Amino acid sequence: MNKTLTGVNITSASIGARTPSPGHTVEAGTTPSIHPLTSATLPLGGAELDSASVALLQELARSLHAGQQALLSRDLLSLELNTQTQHRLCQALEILWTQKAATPSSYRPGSPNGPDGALAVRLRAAQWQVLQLGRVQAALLIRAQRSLRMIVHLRAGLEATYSAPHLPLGADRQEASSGSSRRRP
Amino acid sequence: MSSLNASLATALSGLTAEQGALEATTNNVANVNTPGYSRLVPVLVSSDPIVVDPLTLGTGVTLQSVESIRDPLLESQIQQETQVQGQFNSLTSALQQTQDNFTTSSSDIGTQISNFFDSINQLSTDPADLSVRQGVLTAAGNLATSFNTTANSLTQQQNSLDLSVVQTVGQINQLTSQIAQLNGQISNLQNVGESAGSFIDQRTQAIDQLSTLTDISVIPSNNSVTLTTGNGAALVTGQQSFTLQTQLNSSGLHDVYSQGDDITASITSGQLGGTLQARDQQIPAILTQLDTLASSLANAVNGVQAAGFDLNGNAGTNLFTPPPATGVGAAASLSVAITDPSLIAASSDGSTGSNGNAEALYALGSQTIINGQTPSDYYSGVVFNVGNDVSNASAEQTASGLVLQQLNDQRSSISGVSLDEEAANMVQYQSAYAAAAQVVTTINDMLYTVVNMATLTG
Repeated sequence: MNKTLTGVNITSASIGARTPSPGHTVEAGTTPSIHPLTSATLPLGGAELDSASVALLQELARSLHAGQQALLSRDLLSLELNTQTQHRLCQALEILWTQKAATPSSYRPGSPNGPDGALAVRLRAAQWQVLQLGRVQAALLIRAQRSLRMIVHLRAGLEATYSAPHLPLGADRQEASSGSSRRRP
Repeated sequence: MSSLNASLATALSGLTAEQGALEATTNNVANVNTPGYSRLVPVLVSSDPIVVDPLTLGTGVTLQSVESIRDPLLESQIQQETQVQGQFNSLTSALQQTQDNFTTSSSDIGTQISNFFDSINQLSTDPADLSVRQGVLTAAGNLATSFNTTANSLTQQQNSLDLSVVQTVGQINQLTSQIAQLNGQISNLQNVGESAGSFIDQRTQAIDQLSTLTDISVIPSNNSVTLTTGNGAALVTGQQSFTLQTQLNSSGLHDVYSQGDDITASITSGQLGGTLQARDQQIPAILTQLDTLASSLANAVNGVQAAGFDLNGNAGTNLFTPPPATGVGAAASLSVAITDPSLIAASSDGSTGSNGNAEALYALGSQTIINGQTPSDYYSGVVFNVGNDVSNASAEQTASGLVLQQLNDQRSSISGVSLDEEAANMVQYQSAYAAAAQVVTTINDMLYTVVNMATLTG
């Protein structure tokens, strides 16, 4: 199912495997589905956008967590797949938030969907979780990079550090034919 | 052909070697739960053969050595990550303590800034009321106290971190001395061909502990290790250790010295690195921001005061004591300069009912008077930065924990003791020992036969 929202195509496949199929219903109390993006009820209201954001952020948190496990166990395929999922989820979130910015606020004071309501609290918690997982992911990637550098240096061995600089191929011959008596360093 | 005695010696070499191998297994089983223990593996080699023309005959087996199983690359990674974890453990702990000063409460700076401007707003509605004027002085006093308390608390934290620096340096010296001593013991044993596995394990553990405290480089050399700090200052060379010293600097805090050189700035990881980072970078940065906020606010309020008139029609005087010209220490020393509420310059023209200057004072709350920001926004920025630093340090701490867990699991799979494997080895060595003993019995019988033969023929 394709829907266009602010000029970008969102498909259920592009949001990830957890996207419910058309007609899927979500029971009360379960993780909210991200159906607003795939339903035919666009444009969405503020509360619906927040619900969808929470669901996407929770999905993103799960993917980040899985990506971290993959990184630690050097499972490059899983890391790659999770990174792709994260990229898609980020795109979907960008679209949602662009839509939200364009939606006039219809919150009423004391409403559970208001800025201090339960939904907003859940949204902030999900944002915080993703932010923190993102920081951990970045720190883990830096460490993986450092380990890789260590292995590269070990593989290179000592001769790589102390050898004379490489001259381009044929440089010796050119030097000899020009009659230069300079010695190479 | 070899003699029966030679065969007996060969069988005995088997008994001795298998007994040695069994001892290694016994030690492994005994240390199954010992942290940092690396399992021992016996290295058996066949003894040098002898030539008895025209044959070359084996002379049995020798237990050449008992080796500890280690992965140097893994050890190095663990030491590096331990340093990073030590750094972020102490940094996170210090920053969380710092953050407590900025938790929203009835007495935090942000609330007191709001209260101060609210009291001025009230004054502008009734500029001649002495009780309202007294309210402004009380709010100003609370604001100054809030700045003082926060700045003093940060300075106290800086001093306790300084104490921690001195203690950590003491622990480092203790460990380097221990490592130098272990270097000597390992070297002595290895020079006479003995296994120094347990001493190497102890040294590895001591190096791991040292990594928690500071950044070190480990350079393995013959039967020994050389340890240096991150910038190359020697800590341990062979059996000699070099102590680090602490010395008070002009700020009253301790710097770390190695053989006369100040190496404080180059210590970047380990517990010491994290403590120094909090003491010398994070807390001073926050103090500077608080000083900027306090001095800018005090100067702005004093400036507006000077432009107005008090209740007696006189030109306004300073509401806050003028902060130092450089701003350094402004937050810690901020105080209210007047005690008489009638001295607040609410009037802009000298008349009693005028509130022009009170409104100008109130307007300061929404003016960008501190580095292009309003006082409340600037303070929010300070709080945000502190929270952000805590989150970053906490994320690094989590990442370090995850990586270390992974590396330690890897180390356990390589160096750790598997009881199943040891049980299998035990059966194997036991069978070999029993077989060698059977050979000894057989040769003994053969010797007995030979001796009896000799007696009969004699």
